[in-house]
This record gives sequence, C-alpha cells and structure tokens, in this order.
Amino acid sequence: MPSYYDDEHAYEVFCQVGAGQPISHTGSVSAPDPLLAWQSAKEVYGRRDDVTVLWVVPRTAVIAAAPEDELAMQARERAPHRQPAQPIKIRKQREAGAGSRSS
Amino acid sequence: MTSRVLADAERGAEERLTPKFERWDPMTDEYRAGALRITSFQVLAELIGVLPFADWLSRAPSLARKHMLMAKLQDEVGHGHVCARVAEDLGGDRIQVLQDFADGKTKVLNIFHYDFETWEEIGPAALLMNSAAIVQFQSLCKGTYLPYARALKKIEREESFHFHHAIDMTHETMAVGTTAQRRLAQQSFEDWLPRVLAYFGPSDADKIHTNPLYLLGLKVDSNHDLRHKWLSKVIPAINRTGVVVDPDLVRPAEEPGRWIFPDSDWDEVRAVINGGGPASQRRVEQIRTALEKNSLYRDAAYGRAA
Repeated sequence: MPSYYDDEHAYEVFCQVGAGQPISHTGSVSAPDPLLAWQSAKEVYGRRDDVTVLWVVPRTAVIAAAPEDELAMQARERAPHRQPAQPIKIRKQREAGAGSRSS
Repeated sequence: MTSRVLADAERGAEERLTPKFERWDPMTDEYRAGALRITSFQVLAELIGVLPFADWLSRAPSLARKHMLMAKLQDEVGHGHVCARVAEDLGGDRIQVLQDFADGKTKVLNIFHYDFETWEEIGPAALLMNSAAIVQFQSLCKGTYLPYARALKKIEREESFHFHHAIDMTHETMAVGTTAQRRLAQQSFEDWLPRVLAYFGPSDADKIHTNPLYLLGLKVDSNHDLRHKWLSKVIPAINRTGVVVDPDLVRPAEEPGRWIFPDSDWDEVRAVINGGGPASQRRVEQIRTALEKNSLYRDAAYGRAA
C-alpha cells in the first residue's frame, strides 16, 4: 500500500521571519493537498515567530542539482578569476615592482 | 558517503562526526536504518510525552497556566511532526510508528509510564524531563545526519520555553504555596529524579566506542556523559526553585562536571518499560483510540475509500 508520507505528498516550506530577511527553507510537511500543506506549515513552523512570508512548494516541483553537478557548482575555488583577490594581487605585485620608477 | 567535507573538519572535530549526509546523499543501509530508528523513536517519544500533561489541561489552576500548558503540548506534537518528516524521508511512516506501539511491538521510555497525581507534581517532573531532553538534543544535533540536526535545532528553541515554564511552576509552588503544596513538589523531585536518571540509559562508558550508532556519528555522546551534563544543568536550576536536593540522592563529585548518585535499579526500569508502570497500559489504549478516531479523517483527506 503506498504511503501517505512519500515524496508525492511532501511540501517544502519557506518562511520569512521579519520583513527584509531572506525567505529561508525551514523544513517540510506531509499533506494530501496544497491548501492543507499550507495550513500544516503554519501550524508546525509558525507557532513561535512573526512569520511575514510563508510558502509551500510541492517537493516534486523542485528542480535540484544532481550529484554529477557538484564540480560545476564549485565556483569559488574553480574560478579565481571571478574573485577580487586576483586583480588585487596583480595590482599589488605591480606596485611593489614599480617602486623604483620615477615619474 | 558524500565527497563534501564541511568546515567541521577544519575545526579539528572528530573524524567520526565529519562526513555529513543530506537526505538525497547516498548512504549505507546500516546508516539509513540507524537514522530511521533514532528519528522514529523520537516521533513516538514526542507524541506520547504529551499524554501525561494533557490530563491536566482541563484542570490547570489558572488561565495563564492553561495557555502555557496548551502551548507546550502543541509544541510537542509539532516536534513529533517535524521528526516524522525526517523519518519519512528515510522510509519511515508516522502511522506505522504509532501502530507498532499500539500493537505492543515497540516500547517507550520509562518516564512516560507514569501519570501526574497532583498539579504540584508537574513542575519538578517537567523540569527534570525537559532539561534531560534539552541536553540530549544538544548532543544529537552535532550528529552526521543533517535533516535531523536541523530539526533538533528548531525543537531546541522551543524547549527553552518549556524549561522556563517548568522552573516557574516549581518556583511558584515553593515560593507561595501552602506547606502541603510545597511537600508535594519536594516529593515530586525525589520521585522523578531516579526515573529521569534512568532515562539516559545504562552507563556505556566502556562500550561506547564499539556502538555502531556512535561510530556512524548518529549517537554523539555516551549515556554516561549525557547524564552528568544533565545534572550540571538541572541541579542548579532545581536549587533556585527552593526545592531541597538531598545529597544522598545526588551531590557534586570532586571532579568538576561530575556527580555522585546511586545507580539505577535497571531491573525495575526494564519492568516499567515492558509495561509494568502505573500508566503503561493506559498509554497503549490512548494511542489505539487516537489511531481509530483519526483514521476516518485521514482516509477521507487522502481520498481513499475507508
């Protein structure tokens, strides 16, 4: 018998607590339909905080990176040419080397 | 095992706790089964933990107390739901967890096999139980299964409210209660201390390093260490309420952070867990009734014929 609590019935919950804050993933709920999912999310994740934004998204609608994408998503180490550190270093090396240059 | 090694490794954390897992990461069957067992166990504990307190909702002595008790119980049910999601993403099912308990296939912690006889009993009992749960969750949330660690962090934030509510209830009885009421609170502490000491499980200081759940990073600290950490947290809090702590029941050892107390009667604890407690049978019946009452709604909501 299929479970009531499988991926088909899972909804990911996103909350914003306080205007201007990021809308963050807080967890998931199980529900038979989207409206009950939202109510459930409000009960389970909205008991304490002043929630300003509450979204539920069916898990099946989420398009996620696959394990083989891991390398392609490592931007920082793989692409130093996108970081300020690289041009800063080049300029500093030039300033140090040109110290003896007269105007 | 994921190839990602998080910042923990750079901070020199134990290698055992370093590999972390999300629900979509490949994991061994042993790991999945261990994480499922721990989270399913907590689903049952959170939901059944409501029952001794629920009896008192209609008997709270003031509206403020009723509000706070209701809030605590709603929190516990919510915690059960949060853990249920973690368990379900590992292949579990919250209804099966409850059904297995109703069918006598699983057991709950010793502390849930008792009812509260008086309102005054609740404060000290709740303080002992809640602080024990806090210490346990603080340990478990350093574990390797990240969805569970996140769930525990959310749960912990609400446990702080429960902790202060329990201190307040106890303090109120001891500060402004009658002699009879103060005696009930004092008795409650002495009755419940041994029960919650046993909650952490038998001492495993010598066996922890071969415990599979420990090696997988799912169990972070030994029962032995958690018990002492808990005493360091709760005994000062108890002292502040006015309840007297008999040194023969528990007292600090010379080594800081360590305590001296009589070892639990594990035969008695086992007998209680196996159904010999005053409320053991009642818990099973309460869960059976809840499952029956709710099955019609659940089947209708999910659009299945009854």
